[in-house]
Amino acid sequence: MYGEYSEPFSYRDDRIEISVEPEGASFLYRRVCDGRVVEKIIADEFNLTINPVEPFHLPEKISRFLEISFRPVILKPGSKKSIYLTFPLEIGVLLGKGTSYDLLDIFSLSATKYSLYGTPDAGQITRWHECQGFDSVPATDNRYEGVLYLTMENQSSGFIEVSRAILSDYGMQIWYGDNVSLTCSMKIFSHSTAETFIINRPLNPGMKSSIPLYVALKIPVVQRKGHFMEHGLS
Amino acid sequence: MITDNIQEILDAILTGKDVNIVGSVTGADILFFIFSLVVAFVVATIAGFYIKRKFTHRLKKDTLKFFTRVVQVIIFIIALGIAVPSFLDISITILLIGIAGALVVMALSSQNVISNFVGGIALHYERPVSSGDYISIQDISGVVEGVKMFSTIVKTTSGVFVRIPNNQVYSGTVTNYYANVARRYEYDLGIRYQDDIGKAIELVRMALEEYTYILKNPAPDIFVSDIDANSVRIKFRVWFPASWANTRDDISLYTGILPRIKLALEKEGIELPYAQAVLHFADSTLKVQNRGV
Repeated sequence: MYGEYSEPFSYRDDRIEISVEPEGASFLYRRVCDGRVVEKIIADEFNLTINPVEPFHLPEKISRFLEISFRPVILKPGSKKSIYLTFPLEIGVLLGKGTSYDLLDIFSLSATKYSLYGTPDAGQITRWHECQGFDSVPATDNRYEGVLYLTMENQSSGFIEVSRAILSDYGMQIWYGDNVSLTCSMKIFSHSTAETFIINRPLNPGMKSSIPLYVALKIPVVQRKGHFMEHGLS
Repeated sequence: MITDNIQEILDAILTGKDVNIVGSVTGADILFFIFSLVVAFVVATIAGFYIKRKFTHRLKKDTLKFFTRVVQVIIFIIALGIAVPSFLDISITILLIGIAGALVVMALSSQNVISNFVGGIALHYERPVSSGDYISIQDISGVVEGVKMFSTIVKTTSGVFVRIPNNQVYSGTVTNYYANVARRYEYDLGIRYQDDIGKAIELVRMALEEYTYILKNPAPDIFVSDIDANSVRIKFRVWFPASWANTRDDISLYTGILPRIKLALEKEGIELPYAQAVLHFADSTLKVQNRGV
């Protein structure tokens, strides 16, 4: 399903139907997902990209932080550990080419749940996702979930238990191919503080980079180094 | 005669002649006075532009607007303080006496205006409310559109704009629902005495879990709050993202949750109770149970 299209096409599986078909001098974009139908007329020739995008826009934009909750991992002082997690996806349908894109459609098969990281007065609302944590690349359905490769580094002087990672939407670069992937690192400073970074690197060679939705929506982004987690790691 | 005099004064001003118009004030003086006010206006505009550019990312929109206006007014007052004694043959002492007199008159006649202005400054300093917050004040609930110089504008959930004087906002009781990122709501319902309480609580928990906007953490609190005349009361407290809950009125939050819980319970045979009364007769041969009202 993911890829670039400039000719009429159709895709169908058990839950999604997407097609662009000629209709007179124009084209009809049609998407059916779980019974919900979206139809739009594309007036001219088109370049259409379907790719996974950051999971922050549906059902409405409430949070810009992704919280991944996983089985606790204990790290000794100075140690480093990489694990594979999963993260939810939204599917963006974008019109355009090169550096100019517009959002045509967005939908998701993943159920959305929100959570509070920290306290009501000083915390952050997060898009919450739970997964186990794996030592090898887990089998995922790339319509629902992507694989998050997280490297944790304990820079503190004590044993630290980690069971969640909070990632900011700033510069969230997703890659797609056989899998959908995201690569991150976490520097742990203490039991309650850490910093997470999104690394612009695919999980496997040959993967294509997704067009982030903030590019399509033309949202100016202040590039930050990382996201500081200050309300605990477990 | 009067028109001749006005024409003469205008000619003197426009040509800048060294002719006395009022007392020792010449046309050139009036030209310079007007010019200095224009310069003050330009300086105030540039200052406003500079402040907006410099602080636009550090201050909220309405606070920035308020302080820009205050700085511009101060620049204009300073310009008047310099221009009036310099060009209009009014000594600084007389000017100060005039200003003091004007202030006294203003203070006496416009107490409300001044108290609203001071209230506006206090609101911007203490920030109990700011633009975009969902608040309740007196009987008004809505989103703050802006804290202006003399009043606070609130847009109610029914789309009506309400202007509240700043001194009332500052001195009154204000509930700000937007100050925190999450809000807690409380619901309760009753089940029959014969229903399994543990099962009912689990069903409520599962139904809440499926609802997108109920936060995973803090987890919902679900407990038996009372055993009343007709039912076992189950209370549950849930948290919503404030940015979502504040855009909805309380009715829609209730209608979104309670029918869902009712359906989940009824599907598993747990019913909401009727009012009931058990009558005992002295000879104990007849027992009537009234189910339903």
